[in-house]
Amino acid sequence: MRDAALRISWGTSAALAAGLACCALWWAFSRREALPAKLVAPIMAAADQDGDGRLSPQEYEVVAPPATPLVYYDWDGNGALDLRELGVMLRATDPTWLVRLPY
Amino acid sequence: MKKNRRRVSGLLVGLLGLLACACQAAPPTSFLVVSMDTFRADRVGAVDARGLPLTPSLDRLAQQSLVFTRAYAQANETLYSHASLFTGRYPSELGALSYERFRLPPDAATIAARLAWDGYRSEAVVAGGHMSAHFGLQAGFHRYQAMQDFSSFQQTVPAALERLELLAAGDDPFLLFVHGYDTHSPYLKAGPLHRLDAAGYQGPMLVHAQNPLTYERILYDRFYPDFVPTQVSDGRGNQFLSHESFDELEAHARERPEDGIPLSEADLDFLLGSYDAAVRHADLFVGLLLDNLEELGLHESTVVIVLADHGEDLLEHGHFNHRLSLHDENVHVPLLLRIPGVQPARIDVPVALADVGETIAALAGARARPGRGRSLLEPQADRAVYSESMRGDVSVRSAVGRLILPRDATQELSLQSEAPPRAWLGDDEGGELSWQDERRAELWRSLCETRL
Repeated sequence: MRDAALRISWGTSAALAAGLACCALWWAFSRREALPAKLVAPIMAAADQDGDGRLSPQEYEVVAPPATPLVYYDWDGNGALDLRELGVMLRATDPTWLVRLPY
Repeated sequence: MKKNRRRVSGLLVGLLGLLACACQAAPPTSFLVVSMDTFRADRVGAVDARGLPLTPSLDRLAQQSLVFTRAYAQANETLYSHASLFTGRYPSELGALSYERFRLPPDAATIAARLAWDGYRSEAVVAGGHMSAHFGLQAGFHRYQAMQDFSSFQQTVPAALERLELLAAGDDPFLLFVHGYDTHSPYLKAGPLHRLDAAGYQGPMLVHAQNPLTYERILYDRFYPDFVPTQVSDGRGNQFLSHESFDELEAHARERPEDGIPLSEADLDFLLGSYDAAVRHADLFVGLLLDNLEELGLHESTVVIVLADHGEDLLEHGHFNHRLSLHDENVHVPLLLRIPGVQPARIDVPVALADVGETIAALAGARARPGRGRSLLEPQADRAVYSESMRGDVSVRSAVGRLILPRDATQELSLQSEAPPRAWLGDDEGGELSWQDERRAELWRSLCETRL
């Protein structure tokens, strides 16, 4: 019985540790991949025609090629790109892959 | 008269700034040099149709910098311009201007090598292509990292940030050189936002622009899809566009005008807009680099230099390229120099990219070296700035004006002759000067002095 309790305790601890590690990795990754809001804001301003601080599908479609649909970068799935999602997109998308690709 | 007064006032402001530099600056320990390939001088501080800035990061840097408004590259091409930048020599003094043959010698006295003697750690992160190590540009660097050919700051800046963190943790002062081809054709580096400055465009060039040689098949307002630009090898299997291809395109257009597909105003706006979107992209990543410099606590101990190796003809002379001529569009470049503790200033006299190395040496306390470069911390009022191209064109720019000799003229003349040949000659506004104008003789003398 005591062994079983210990196993559960170790298992719980390991799961907790793994969860924390995942959170830390996610946090580190997301921090690394997003460009700072201060730098992305002027790009957002240039594309954000109605000035609501985010890119709607309509606003996005007129500036982006069809090869890179908005859904690629819409992490929270709310149908629009906010400053952070735009920052991730600009940091993570290698522009050179567009060359020679047909739409 | 007004113009002369402006020049004099600009010069005075510049000299005051430099004086302030001499008086106030603490000895800087490190250098960050950013080369924005193919970045036109007129895009720094430019705004879009809605009045929004194209270069907010560079604008912020300019507010803290000595801004050289009349900086000129010594070549209109990446390889030779950087060779000149690193060595303070004219490109043709370093080797034959040919991709097959040009190699900077390993023992070239580059600024990286000179600083290494003084205990500096020198590193470079470049975007391959004409900056590839086999051209010899790595001479003197402790570490020279070439990324994917013709890639952008989106690739080089993250790599540079990793190096910057390591350099910041080290004991040695450093020189970090970072380069990106963001505004080099094809102007696709804005990636998913490459229609940012031509929103809604749906025309045929949207597809054609994906081909790396589309821009090189356009002459004024016509697209010649059947024209095959000549490419040359660098001797190691890599192909580069030949400078002869521009003449060949013009000949093709004359012989087969029916091949040219007329481009609409919307097509042209898209093509030109894609350059501006690339400008925004470059500015974004340079901003990231500068922000990280500050976050690492290096802001007050690092001199920041932002420049371009050459500009770009955006159809002003018919082409989308830079190797065709030595007009201002191709050799007038941005040059920002931020020295911690030095008051910002605008300096409106002509200076050369070849001066940058000597300036770094002066700030680092390294011994001066005979060459074409002159420290930008010295007065530059009498400066005549020379440029040359692999096509054989030469030019000189001074406070008097500018003289551009096309290769046909340079082939016929000796620079030691007293009279200039019949050649394109213009003042700062691009108008023609009369052949009797006394400035012609002065520019000619300047050209002879700078070249000989």
